[in-house]
Amino acid sequence: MGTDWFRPISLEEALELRMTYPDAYLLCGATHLMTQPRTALSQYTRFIDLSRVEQLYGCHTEECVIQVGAAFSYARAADFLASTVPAVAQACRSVGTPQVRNKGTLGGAVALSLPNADLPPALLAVGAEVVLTSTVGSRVLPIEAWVCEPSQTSLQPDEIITALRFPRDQGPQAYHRLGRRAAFCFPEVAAAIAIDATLPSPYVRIAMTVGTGAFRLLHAEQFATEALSMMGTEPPEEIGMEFYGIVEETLAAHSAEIPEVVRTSAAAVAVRTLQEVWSDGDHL
Amino acid sequence: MGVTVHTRVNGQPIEREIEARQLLVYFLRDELGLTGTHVGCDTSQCGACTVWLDGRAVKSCTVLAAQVDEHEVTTVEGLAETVPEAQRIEGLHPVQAGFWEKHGLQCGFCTPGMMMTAAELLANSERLSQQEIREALEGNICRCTGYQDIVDAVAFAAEKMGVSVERDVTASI
Repeated sequence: MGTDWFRPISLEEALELRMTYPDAYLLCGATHLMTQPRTALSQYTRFIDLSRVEQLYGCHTEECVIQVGAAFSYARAADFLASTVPAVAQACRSVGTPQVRNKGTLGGAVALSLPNADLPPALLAVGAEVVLTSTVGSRVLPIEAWVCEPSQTSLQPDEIITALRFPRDQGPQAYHRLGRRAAFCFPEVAAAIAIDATLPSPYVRIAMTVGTGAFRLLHAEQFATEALSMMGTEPPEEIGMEFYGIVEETLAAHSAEIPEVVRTSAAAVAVRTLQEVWSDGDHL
Repeated sequence: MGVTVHTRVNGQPIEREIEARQLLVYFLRDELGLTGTHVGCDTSQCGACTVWLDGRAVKSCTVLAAQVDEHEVTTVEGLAETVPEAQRIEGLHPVQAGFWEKHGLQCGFCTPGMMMTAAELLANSERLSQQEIREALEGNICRCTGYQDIVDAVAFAAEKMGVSVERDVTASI
C-alpha cells in the first residue's frame, strides 16, 4: 500500500490537509511514533509533517503570559523558559535523552498526553493553556480541560495544536522525578510545584504523576498554602512530615492500585520539591 | 507513493526518491554507503546511530529519512569538517583524536554515536564539568569501557577546542 507524505509550509495549508485527511498522522519531531514498535508506523498510510509550518515556531511574551509555538523542541523550550517558567523548563530537561530533546516537541507531548510522561505534572502545576487552531479560528483551553482520560484529549478532528501559553514570573517553581535510568524511562513518580506569588496571598499549586496519570493534589495545595502563609520562608521540618503524610493519603485515596512503595516514594519526592520552592524565599 | 528528499549530507547535496517509512539510518547506510553510522538497538536506546540534523544530535534510527528533506545531516564521516582546519589533529576532529589518545573505545561499536553526541556538546559549550559531560552522554550506551575513558576523551577534546572542563572526582554515570 502506498504512503502519502504531506509537508505543508503554512498553517493554512496544514489545516486544509487536516480537514481533507482527518485520519492522517500528524507529526513534527516524531520521537514518540518512532520509539514505538515498528508496527505502529505501518498502521498509518498518510502523514502530515508539521515541522515546516513557520507559525508553529513563533513565541511572544505578554505582561503576564508567555506563549511558545507547538513546534518548540524540548531542548529549545528548556532554554527559553528557564527563568520565566522554571518547572516546565526542568521537566523539558528531564525528557528522554539529549537526542530526543533535540527533536521532540512541546506540541507532541501535549497531543499525546501520555499519563506517565514528564511534562503533564509541570503543565498542571503552572496552569498552562493549550492553543488550538482550526480553519474557523482558535480557542484556548486550560490544560486541565485538555486531557479527558489518559491519552485522550479534547483535540477535534479539524484542529491542530499551535501553541502553549504559560503564566510567567509567578514565583518559585520546581520539578523532580524519580524513576529508573532517566534517559530511557518515563518517571515512576514526578512532582511539580509552583507558588503563585503574584496573588495577595501566595498560593501553592501541586501536581504529580504516579504512572497512572497526572493530577493536582488539592488537599495538599491547601495545606501547603496555609502553612506557607503562617510560617514564612523557612519550612520547618514538621511541616515536611505532615505534608508527606497528606500526599501519601491523597495518593492512596486517588487509586488503590498505587503500591505503598510508590506512594511513599512519591511523597518523598513531593516533600523535596516543596522544600526547594519554599526555600526560594527571594520570590516570596 | 515515494517521497522525494533533497538534503545535504556532510556538505554534499543529495536528491533521492525514497519510501516514506524509510529510517534515516538505513538511508545513510544503504542508500549513501555511509556505514560509519551504526545500527545498534533500532529502538532509540543505545545511541550508536547518532548523527547531526542541522547541527543537533539525533538518533537516526528514530528519524524518518523523509524528515530530513531540506535539512542538513552530518555523519561521523563528515565530523572533522565541522571544525576549522586549525583545530583538527592530524585531520581528525578533536573528539576523534581524544578517543584515540585516551583509549575511549574497545569494540568501537558505540564510538561513532558517542563522538557525534560529544562533538555537539562541545560545539555548544564554553565551560563544562565532568558531570555535564556524563549527562550529555546519557543517551549513549557503551558495553566495554566503563565510560571513564570516554569522558576523558571528551575532556581531551574540550581542551583542544578551548572549552574549559572542571574536574569532578565524584562524578559518576
